[in-house]
Amino acid sequence: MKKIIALGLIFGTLPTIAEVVRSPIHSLEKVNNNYLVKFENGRVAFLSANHKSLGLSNLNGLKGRMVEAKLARDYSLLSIQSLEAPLKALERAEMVEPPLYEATIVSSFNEAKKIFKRLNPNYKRASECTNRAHIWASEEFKKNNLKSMKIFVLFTASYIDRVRFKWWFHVAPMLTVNEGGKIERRVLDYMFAHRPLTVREWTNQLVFSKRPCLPTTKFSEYDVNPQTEDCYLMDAPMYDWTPTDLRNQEIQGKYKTEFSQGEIRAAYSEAF
Amino acid sequence: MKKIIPGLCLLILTSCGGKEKDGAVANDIPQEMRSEGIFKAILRPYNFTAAGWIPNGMADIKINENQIEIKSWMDDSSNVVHMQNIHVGTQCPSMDQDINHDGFVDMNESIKVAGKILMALDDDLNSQEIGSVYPKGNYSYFQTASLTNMRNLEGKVIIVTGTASNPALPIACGVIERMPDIANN
Repeated sequence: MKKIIALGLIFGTLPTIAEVVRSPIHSLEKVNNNYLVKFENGRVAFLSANHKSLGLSNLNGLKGRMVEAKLARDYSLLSIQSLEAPLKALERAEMVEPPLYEATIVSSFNEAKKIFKRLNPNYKRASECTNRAHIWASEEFKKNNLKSMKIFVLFTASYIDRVRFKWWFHVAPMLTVNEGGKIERRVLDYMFAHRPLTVREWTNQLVFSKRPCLPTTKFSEYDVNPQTEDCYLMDAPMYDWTPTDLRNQEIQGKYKTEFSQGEIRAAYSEAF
Repeated sequence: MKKIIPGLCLLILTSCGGKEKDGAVANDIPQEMRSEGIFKAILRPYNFTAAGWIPNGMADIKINENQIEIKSWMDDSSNVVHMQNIHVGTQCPSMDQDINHDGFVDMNESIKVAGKILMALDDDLNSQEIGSVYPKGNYSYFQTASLTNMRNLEGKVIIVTGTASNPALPIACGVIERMPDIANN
């Protein structure tokens, strides 16, 4: 038995690959003595600022590109490599007014519960929240003509570093519900909740500090990342898929007014 | 090592109140009509702050006459033994069951709504004897069994326990729901 433990300890000192993330890099941030690598699919990886072979300049060169990153069990970055050529930087466009989006008003909370219960339960293990939310929203639209919202919770680098959180954002479909004459927002986080939740109930589940998240309509307000907040909230039409859509609206004035079938196919392929 | 794991499980089981105090699975439940079909339980988290992460999982159950097949998985950051049991209740616990207001819904509080253990989803579904091995860490579980007294599992709940600091604390729960036959084949 002693030999087994000793062997375990020896192996335990070596960084073992716990997970491989394949996704474009969304952004890099320095927090305390770490760099935080944010991937487009929502995952994060930590890199010590003292790490020589995986330095900031190397990682900056990979921003926006599809990469394959190997992560240890504590989400520290072990290695990273590009899977494609560099992308062109986004050009800032003139500001345009967002198109009007009117979500369906669900008649009651009981109706919202019915919608929640009929969401597609056959998602894959370790699927991404963006893809699950996109399919749940698109299936409800296709089958029942229900126009839902999306709600994104965006965690700040300081919060992620503090609780060593695995994700930098989470997204779920959201309904606008008539509850006794008052319009309420109810989040349909089918994977993590037993019923439609209020936004505050939802963030209380996700944010361990229980601090309320600051609502914003501009992605840049989150992206500049004041370290004083734990999280931000952004509402979006059901057509928006990832935080890149939120960023593109602001930078490029690109707003989605329908589901992209390519995105739907990609979401099914990854998540269901 | 095999001897150690059941021993550890026995220690956990007897200290958590998950199974009955006399160490047996609840046996005073009236036998219900057997129910064939395909079922699914989404294992959703509770006791979030204790877990430090957001555990989640799924259980798929197929019942055909006396044959039962159970597949489940759980993703969790704690590399600890996770007891998973089907309970006789039909409701997952919530923070409303935190009777002592310590911020956690422990097993004793959970069974107020989830009820006694009906079936232990361990490595020996056939025996249902205490001391069998439960899965550990991020797990994938698969077991089949032939049971003479198959009960109707529809509407019952599955509770999964185990955090790094408290192996008996529940981390996830799901209600077993009947699926259309076309799904999950």
